[in-house]
Amino acid sequence: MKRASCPSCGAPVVFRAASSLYVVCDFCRSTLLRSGEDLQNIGRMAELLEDASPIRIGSEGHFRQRHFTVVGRIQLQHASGLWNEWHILLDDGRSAWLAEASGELIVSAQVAVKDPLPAFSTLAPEMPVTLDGRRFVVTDLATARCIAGEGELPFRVAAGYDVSTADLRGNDRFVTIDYSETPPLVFVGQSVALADLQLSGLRDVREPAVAPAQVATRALNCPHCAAPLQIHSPATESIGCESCGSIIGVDDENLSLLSRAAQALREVPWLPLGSAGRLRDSDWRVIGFMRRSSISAGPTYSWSEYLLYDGQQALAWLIEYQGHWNLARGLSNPPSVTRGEAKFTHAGRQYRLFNHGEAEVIHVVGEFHWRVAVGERCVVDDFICPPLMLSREVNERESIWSQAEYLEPDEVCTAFGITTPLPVRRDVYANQPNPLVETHRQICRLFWKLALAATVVQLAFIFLIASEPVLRQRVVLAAENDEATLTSQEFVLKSRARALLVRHQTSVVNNWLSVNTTLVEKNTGEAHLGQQEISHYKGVEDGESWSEGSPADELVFRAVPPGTYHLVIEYELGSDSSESVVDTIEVIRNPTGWSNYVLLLIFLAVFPLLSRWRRNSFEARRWHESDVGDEASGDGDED
Amino acid sequence: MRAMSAMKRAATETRTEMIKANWLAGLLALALFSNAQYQGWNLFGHEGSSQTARAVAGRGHHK
Repeated sequence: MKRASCPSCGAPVVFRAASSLYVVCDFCRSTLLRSGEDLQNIGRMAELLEDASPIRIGSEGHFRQRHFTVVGRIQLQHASGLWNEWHILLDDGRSAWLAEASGELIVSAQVAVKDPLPAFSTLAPEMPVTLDGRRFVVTDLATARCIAGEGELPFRVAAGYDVSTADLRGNDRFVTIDYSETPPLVFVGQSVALADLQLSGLRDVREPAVAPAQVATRALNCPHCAAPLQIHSPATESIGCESCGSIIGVDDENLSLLSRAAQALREVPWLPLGSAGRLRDSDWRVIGFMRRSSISAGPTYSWSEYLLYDGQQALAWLIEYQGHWNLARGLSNPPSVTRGEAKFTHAGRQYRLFNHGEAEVIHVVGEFHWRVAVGERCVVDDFICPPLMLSREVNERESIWSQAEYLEPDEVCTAFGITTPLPVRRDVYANQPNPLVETHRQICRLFWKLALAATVVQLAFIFLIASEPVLRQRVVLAAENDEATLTSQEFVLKSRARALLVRHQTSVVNNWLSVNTTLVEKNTGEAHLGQQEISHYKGVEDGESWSEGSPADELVFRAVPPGTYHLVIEYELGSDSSESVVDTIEVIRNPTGWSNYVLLLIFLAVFPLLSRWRRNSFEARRWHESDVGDEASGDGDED
Repeated sequence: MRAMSAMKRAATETRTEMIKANWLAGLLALALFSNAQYQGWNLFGHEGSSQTARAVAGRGHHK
């Protein structure tokens, strides 16, 4: 650490980072260049614009378990707003940058890149760029103007200094190429949450438990109609006046009229601006409302987007379309998806393209963190994996990804305490969870349970309640005897038979056999009658074999009392063949058949088939709303 | 999470009836199947008829 005095005003100045070449005096704002042991005053630094960032020089935090101190800042301004680049000094002596823009924080450090860098003018949003073997996608192109600086800086900062930067993202890495120098500087980093940085020594820091109702606001007046305006978020760059429809730019403490009462559409938001509520474990306040419309070919449709602010750093969108609600947040780690790609996997989930089109802002009210304008257009791709949806919005300057999660309408009402009737929910929304997926899954599980139970019962009948063969006899019918009556051997039923199966397994081929079977009890003479026709024909015709009928047939007698029995069988043999016929007669007591088991399984399968149909109908209704085709398919199949 | 519970509640309401009906019908079918197997019922089987008429024995011959 080097201490010195400002050569201009004598105030003490400190160089904590060895890499710092410049320091801006806190008192007189002189920019001082370190030159050996001396300090050289190279000019006065412009005043910083008030942006109400919670971070300040001297704030401390942790990044990847390493402590750092904020030692300097440069403030940049571009078309859509301000952003800060905080110069941070890590405990190991290295320095890095903490970028703070539109509610997102990114820690990055300069790296050397071997690959040649593309020229700034050749870049476009969504363009893939490979750096040292890693693939990135251009997400933002900006030409910003450095407007001021403070504290220690590793290079000279002068107000009015223009910086062209390209932001790229790939996997969870964030790359900024700074084209202000030749060759361009490359900074690699990653997006971090404010809480993960464990920042201390913040300015005007609010505890997370504080409700958004207590968020400090700035009261202003519309420069066109003098209606009162409020600014809740320090990231606010523009305001849509509820009263006259003008759009006002916010610069420091000043307001500038960007669009004078130019909004043809006037709409009262269902969720009033200023509404506060707790949604998904965060306290939110509604600070802006936007109506957007599709401008693609075919029917146009519009939807509402409410900008939410959590009172600290985070911004989110509450989106409503035809009574369906989504909570969307910016995606700091977007997937690498090229144009036209219809499927991709992100964070273990597979997303499918649902909609592709162009959207236009048609009405704005309240605060926004960029210079919003009616007529602002972007190309939108929605990829769904219910209940999530990833959306990519691309304009000529940037590509923004957001992740939306479907909300039940009641949850929105409860969160914001709204008692007015909800917009009526119609149709099936893109990422609306299919409740029938879980139903189908449960019904499939139930099917397997019942099928298992049926199998156990069937096996129990086969092995535990065993069927018992009581007679097996072979009979030969001579071809010359077209009629014959035979009496079988006797067999004994010691107890009542629930069923007695008589099976004729014959060798009849290309002939028919009429069989009248009489089961006769020896002592009582009680008889049970059965008549069967057995016919079996086969042959070869035009080189193809064919077969008709069967040489075997079965007959069942029910509730046969105990006793001594024999069979009296009257055969009548057809004259289609001159072959003798052998009939093997089997009598089985209490046989176990398979047909009931098969029938039961068919019956049980009706339910999963029905639930599958219902589930797919829901998906068909969902994909009917898609403009990339009907892809109703069976997700979650387990049957 | 309230959202998850709300979604689960809605989904539960939707599926309860069908699952209940499936349970009921499945158990009834299983009971019917068990009884059919016990009784030896067969939907496709050829069934003989009982009668008390005395049969004339001895007309045939053993082979």
